[in-house]
Amino acid sequence: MPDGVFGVEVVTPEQSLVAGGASSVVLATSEGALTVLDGHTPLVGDVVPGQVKVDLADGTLLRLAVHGGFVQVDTSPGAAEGLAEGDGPLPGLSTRVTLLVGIAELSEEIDVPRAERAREVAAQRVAELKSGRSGGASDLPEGAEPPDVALREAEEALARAELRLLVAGSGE
Amino acid sequence: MAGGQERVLRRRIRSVQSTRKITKAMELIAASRIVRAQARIAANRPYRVGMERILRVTAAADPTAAKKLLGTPESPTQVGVLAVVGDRGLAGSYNSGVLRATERLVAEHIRNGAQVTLWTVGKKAPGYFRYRGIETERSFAGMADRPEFDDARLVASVVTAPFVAGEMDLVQMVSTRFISAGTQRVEVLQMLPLPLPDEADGDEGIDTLPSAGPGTVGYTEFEPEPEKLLAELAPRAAESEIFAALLEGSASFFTAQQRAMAAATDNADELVRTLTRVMNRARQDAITTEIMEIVGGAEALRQSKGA
Repeated sequence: MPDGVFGVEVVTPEQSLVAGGASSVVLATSEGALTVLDGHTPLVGDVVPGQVKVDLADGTLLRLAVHGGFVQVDTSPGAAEGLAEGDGPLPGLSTRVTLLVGIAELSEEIDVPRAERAREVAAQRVAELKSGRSGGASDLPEGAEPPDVALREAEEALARAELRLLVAGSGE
Repeated sequence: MAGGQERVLRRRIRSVQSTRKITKAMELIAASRIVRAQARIAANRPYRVGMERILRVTAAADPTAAKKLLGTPESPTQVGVLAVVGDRGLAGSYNSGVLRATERLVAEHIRNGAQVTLWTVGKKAPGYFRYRGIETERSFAGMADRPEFDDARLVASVVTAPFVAGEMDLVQMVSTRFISAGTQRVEVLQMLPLPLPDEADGDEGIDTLPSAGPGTVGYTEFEPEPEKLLAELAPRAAESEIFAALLEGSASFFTAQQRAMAAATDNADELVRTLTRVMNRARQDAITTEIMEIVGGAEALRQSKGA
């Protein structure tokens, strides 16, 4: 293995999105942006929603839309063992970077028309809820979620759609 | 009349044969779904393993904070129990195994003087507890066959809320673990507070943790600080546990169903064989009787002619 390469994996509960050798990973924690290179100190942190860039060992740049999760940089002996998917086993790596994310997509897997539709729907909903709140929200149907919960959900949906469009490279 | 019996048997055989067609079809469908369900368990494993590792490292870094969220309470007074069963029956003891274990667990907590809140996943659960006069706080249906992570998230948000709010001191989950294609086991899992990663080996509890596991060697940076991180991690870990339980539950359900339906198909075969034999004997008897009657009649006729 060439120098400066470490093992990286991006896993969601449903699947493993990325597994292999990489030369750099760029992500954001709640305390700021973070670039992980080989030899980084061991780290555990949260990952805030945003774009994550993974420079694979073979030179390809992967971009992912990540909707929140955790990251671990593990340098303990044998940490990178068992990280063998993709292009075969990766011997001799001393660092393993693990991203655990609830929802994440690779840039090329993002359904742009769908994200655009989702953004429109969510934006409309946010506008509706905001105006409804200022003008007395008594017209809400019985049993509906409280307006602040609904608003937060709509705003989160909007943020997700916007992030997807940004990562897919078609966001304005 | 003898012919009547034969007709009845013939009808019965036809009915058993059409039931057999259904059980056979269900067996094959279940078998094909096991494979998919198993693949999903495998795809979930890296996430689960990673979550466990992060949790261990973080807990080791801040034992005081960890103590609040990890470890087993001595005598819980407010207990939540989540039972995970299937949406459908015809799966042998899959549902009843979990339901009975849940009932026992609830009864035990009540005996120990605790207040129990019960949640269930799967259509088969509410009826069972209603019949036994056990109240269910909330039941989720429609996610047992093909669980999505969003389903786990929804369940987790409901069952972790009272614990996070401090109204509950123990949350447990009863579900079926898929150990292998041949073995599934009903297990009670402590979900919150998170069981200590190495509780089994260390009697002194959390204070012995820093030495636990290879993941904690040396100095580790935390962003944000471990205490905050743990508070974020605990609900996510519960989510992950619930999702894993849903996945394993669905795989176990299909395995149990396949086995039950295979047995039902065998029984149908056996029944058809027995019934056919009985029917053939009945037919033979009818023929013999008929011949006897003809012979007897002819004999009587000849005798009356000769006289």
